[in-house]
Amino acid sequence: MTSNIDAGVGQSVTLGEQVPKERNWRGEVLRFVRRKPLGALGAVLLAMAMLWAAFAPQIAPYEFNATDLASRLEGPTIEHLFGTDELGRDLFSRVTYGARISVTIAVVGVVVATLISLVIGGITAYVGGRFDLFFLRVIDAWLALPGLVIAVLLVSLFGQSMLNIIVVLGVSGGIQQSRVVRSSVLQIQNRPFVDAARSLGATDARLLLRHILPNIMPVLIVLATTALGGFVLAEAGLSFLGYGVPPPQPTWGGMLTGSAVQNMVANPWIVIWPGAVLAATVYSANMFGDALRDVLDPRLRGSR
Amino acid sequence: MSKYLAQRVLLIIPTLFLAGTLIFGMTRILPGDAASMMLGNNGEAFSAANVQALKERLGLADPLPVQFVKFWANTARGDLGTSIWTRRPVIDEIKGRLPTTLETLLLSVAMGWIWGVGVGVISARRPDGWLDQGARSLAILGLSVPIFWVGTMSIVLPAKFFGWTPLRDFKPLWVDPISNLELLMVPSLILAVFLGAPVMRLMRTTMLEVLREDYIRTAYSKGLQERAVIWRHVFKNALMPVITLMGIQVVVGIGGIVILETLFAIPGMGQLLISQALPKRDYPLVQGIVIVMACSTAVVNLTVDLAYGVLDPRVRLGGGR
Repeated sequence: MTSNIDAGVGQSVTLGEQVPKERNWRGEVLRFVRRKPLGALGAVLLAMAMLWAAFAPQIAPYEFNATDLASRLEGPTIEHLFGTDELGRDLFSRVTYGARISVTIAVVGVVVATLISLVIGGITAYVGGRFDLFFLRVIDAWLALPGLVIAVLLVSLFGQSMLNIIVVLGVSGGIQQSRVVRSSVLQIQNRPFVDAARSLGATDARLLLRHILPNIMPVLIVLATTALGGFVLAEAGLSFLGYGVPPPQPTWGGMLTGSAVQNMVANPWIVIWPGAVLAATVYSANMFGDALRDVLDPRLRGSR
Repeated sequence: MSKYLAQRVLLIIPTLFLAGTLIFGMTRILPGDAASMMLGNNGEAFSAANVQALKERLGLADPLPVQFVKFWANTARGDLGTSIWTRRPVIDEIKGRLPTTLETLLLSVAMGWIWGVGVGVISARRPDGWLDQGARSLAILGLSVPIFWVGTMSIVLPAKFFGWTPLRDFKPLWVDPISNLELLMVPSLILAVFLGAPVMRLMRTTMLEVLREDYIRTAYSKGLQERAVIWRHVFKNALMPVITLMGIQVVVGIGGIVILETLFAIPGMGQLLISQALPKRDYPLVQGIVIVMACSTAVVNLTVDLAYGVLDPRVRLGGGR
């Protein structure tokens, strides 16, 4: 059975048939680590990033705004692991506090996006008919608009705050994902067991929550993991364009603009660190998401 | 075929209508409207009466439904209004910027597809070999590294170590092709790495899928050379699903171009939007730019659909959707 996935092309096998129900989670995790070492490494790095963000005040040796004009624009030293910027602020501390913004926005944004995609995708697939047709057009129209541009527009509209960025990214991510959710729900609700449950008198809510939702879980998990890296990138892009969480709060994208640009030739470390940490985080999320997709849902392979 | 064509073309109308309506709605709820911003917050000029007079002149005082009808009546005729700040027709503002943005988009999509398709095909020949593993990891890396960071690095590192800085004065392609391409090449390359990564991944997957088909085994067993099998039977069929990526690429690519134009100071549509239209809350200009972007996406999607219909008879006989 498993060789189907290992060969890399096991599309015809669906999840329900290939994984025996009684396998315990510890065995599953071990199997995942053995088969997808890079994916597992991604998961570990991602977890570390989250811990790093959570314990930022304990980890950061300095306040993110503490200036030390005596040691400006320094390269990495023992006192300042990542060096300092033009005001003598410790780059390691700033990158550490920046992790908070990126991780919070990405994680909460993914939760929002998943819920929205579930509501839109679930309802359009379940109700069907004209309602479905209309919503598909709206989603198509939304997808024809350049996502980053719309995000910038909406953030400038509602004001630059963490909450607004989460809502904007979550809603547009949710709309994007809802098409995938919709097609998965369509697939599942035509299965005989759903008919069986319905003829036993199950209500719509029960059908959706007890029978359809558990069966599209793999798709949701894969979508969420993939979106995680995307949201970190999107938040950084917004900050880079000046529409992120406003200063003095340091963000990874924001650390690459403004005064950093004027001083980056004098001390390239200013722009090297935030970008490298950003790239490493997104890379971990993508590797993990990719491995999860191979294991959980081979049909989604190759799509982003 | 003509029925399929008509169906596809007609489907574009509701999509564009809804997209335009979404943009209209967004630009009307922007706080801090253009009229108050133009007068500034200082002195007598900023009185309610003055703001009202200015709003009337700009057509912002009409009730929303009236604005909406006017908006569509004008847009449908290709009139995108007048920029609130420069007082020039929006269409002229965009016309000057569009070729540069299209050039960057074209360059990066073309280069992205060359590397994506090429490496995807090579990767699929020996799945899980070292080349495949390396190419796949690189593709994911390409998707993970933020383009504005790579862009920044491509400015910093050569400046630091070789004292070389990119050109800052932009010349259009038809004035000075060499310096134009020199300037656009770096951002296009950066974007191409990013855009080619999903192409490579999908190409590899579809190649592997097609390779398992019965007719491929038949082709081998009738004695065809591997090269012939790959190019004549596998490649063409595997390329089909990858073509659908083109539409998404234009949307993603435009987002990348907005960032890269800002970073490299390239006077394209993205820079117009970020450094002029948005900070000055120039509604008509923002609207116009986003509408032009949405239209390009719709046109590319339509072209992809039509190409699909031509290349794969099953699509058009199946009655579209």
